[in-house]
Amino acid sequence: MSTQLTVVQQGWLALADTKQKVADRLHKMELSLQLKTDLKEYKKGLDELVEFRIKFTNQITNALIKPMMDYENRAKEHYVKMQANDLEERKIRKQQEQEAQALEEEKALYRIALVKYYSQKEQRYVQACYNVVNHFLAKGDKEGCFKELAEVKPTAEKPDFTGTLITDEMKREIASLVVKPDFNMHYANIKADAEKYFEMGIGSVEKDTTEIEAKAAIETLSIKAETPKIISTKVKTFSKVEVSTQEEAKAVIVAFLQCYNYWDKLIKVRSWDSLCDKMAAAVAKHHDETGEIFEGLTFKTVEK
Amino acid sequence: MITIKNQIVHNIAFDEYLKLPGQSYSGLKGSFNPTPAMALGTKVHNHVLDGEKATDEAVYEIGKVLMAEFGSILQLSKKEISYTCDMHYDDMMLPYKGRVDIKILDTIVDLKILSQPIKGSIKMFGYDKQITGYMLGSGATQGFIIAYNKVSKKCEVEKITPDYNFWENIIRKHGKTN
Repeated sequence: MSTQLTVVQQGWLALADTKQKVADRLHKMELSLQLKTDLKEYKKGLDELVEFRIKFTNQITNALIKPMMDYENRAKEHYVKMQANDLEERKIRKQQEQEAQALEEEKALYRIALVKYYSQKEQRYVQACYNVVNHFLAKGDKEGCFKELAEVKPTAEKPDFTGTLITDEMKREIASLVVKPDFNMHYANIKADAEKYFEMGIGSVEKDTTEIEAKAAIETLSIKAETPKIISTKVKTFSKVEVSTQEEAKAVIVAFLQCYNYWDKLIKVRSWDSLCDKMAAAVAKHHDETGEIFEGLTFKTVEK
Repeated sequence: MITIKNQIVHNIAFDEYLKLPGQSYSGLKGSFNPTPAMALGTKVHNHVLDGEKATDEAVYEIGKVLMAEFGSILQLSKKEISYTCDMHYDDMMLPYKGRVDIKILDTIVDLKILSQPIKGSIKMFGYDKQITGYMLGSGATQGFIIAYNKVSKKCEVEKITPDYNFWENIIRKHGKTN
């Protein structure tokens, strides 16, 4: 079996040697620093130590860490693109679903408009027939009554509907599903009733059409319950404050203070310092310059 | 399952209804402390069904939406009717009472004020069981819920699929032998 090392393996071995040599050198530099008492000389030695360390660690970073991170960085880039595509697809899906929901709701409104139209037509027809019956009952003219009754025509205003999504074909389909009033049945019943009224000598009758109206109201309720509810794809939205000018920053701070009562709910931080160090530094400077103190703030004296 | 001795008790206040004989769905669920959401529901009921003046903005707004969408139902119906009956099943009998928000012809409607979509709420709060009880007591053939969603500020309507099984089990558990 060959014990010959490859170039790469030799390189790794050399790196271990170099690392040891660099560490030895850094150790010596640290020891020599310990002998220095002058502040400036100590700082100069410290800078040299850091520079020497950086020369070595930069090689590691450039030759090892950065190339190793290239894989994840490329994958992250792809992930960001995938996220953007996913968001775009969900937005398109949501819009399609909202359009479908709007169409379903429009169909329901059209159906309701037709139900109301036919209900109104039915109520008016029944009422008109009874007006004729009462008119001729008062005159005692049975023949005239039946002649006039046959002439009564169902009337109503056009369905109260304005839609933008529904097609004529859809309208025809919906119209075919709506139960139409049976005017012939009403005519026959009213005529039969009138016959009895004339025989009994009744002067006038009152017809309550509330039931017809109530049936339409229940039908409307059923249509509303039957209207499909399309569950829309979720696209979460949230606000982000843009801060690029000093004025905007000031406005953020003012607003932040106005949110004071909600901080517990709004903010989760490991340390408050990480949230508002710049705000705190500004307040500290103001304190140094003016001596002003602020309730709830503790000013710690830092020596440099 | 059959119901007999069905009686309608018109024009009685809620306190008087509570004194009526029989087991109600709420009674079966047990006692509880009213939540703020329930208090709002009561105010809306009083405003929309009893014509009480809306005392706060939320009640007024909800009433406005309900009237705009379901005005005809509210106008044409009888409201807050109490029912009693005897429910019979498997040689057992349970006296029942219920108070229906709205009755129109053969249909009953219950008003709900919710913070979530009606679909999920029906099973969660047992509204289907409650409405089934009302249907049995009142002899209605269909039952609906009109729900006002406080979050979306919109109304939803749901037709209830009756849960007769629930009441059969209740009769077996709480009923008396005939």
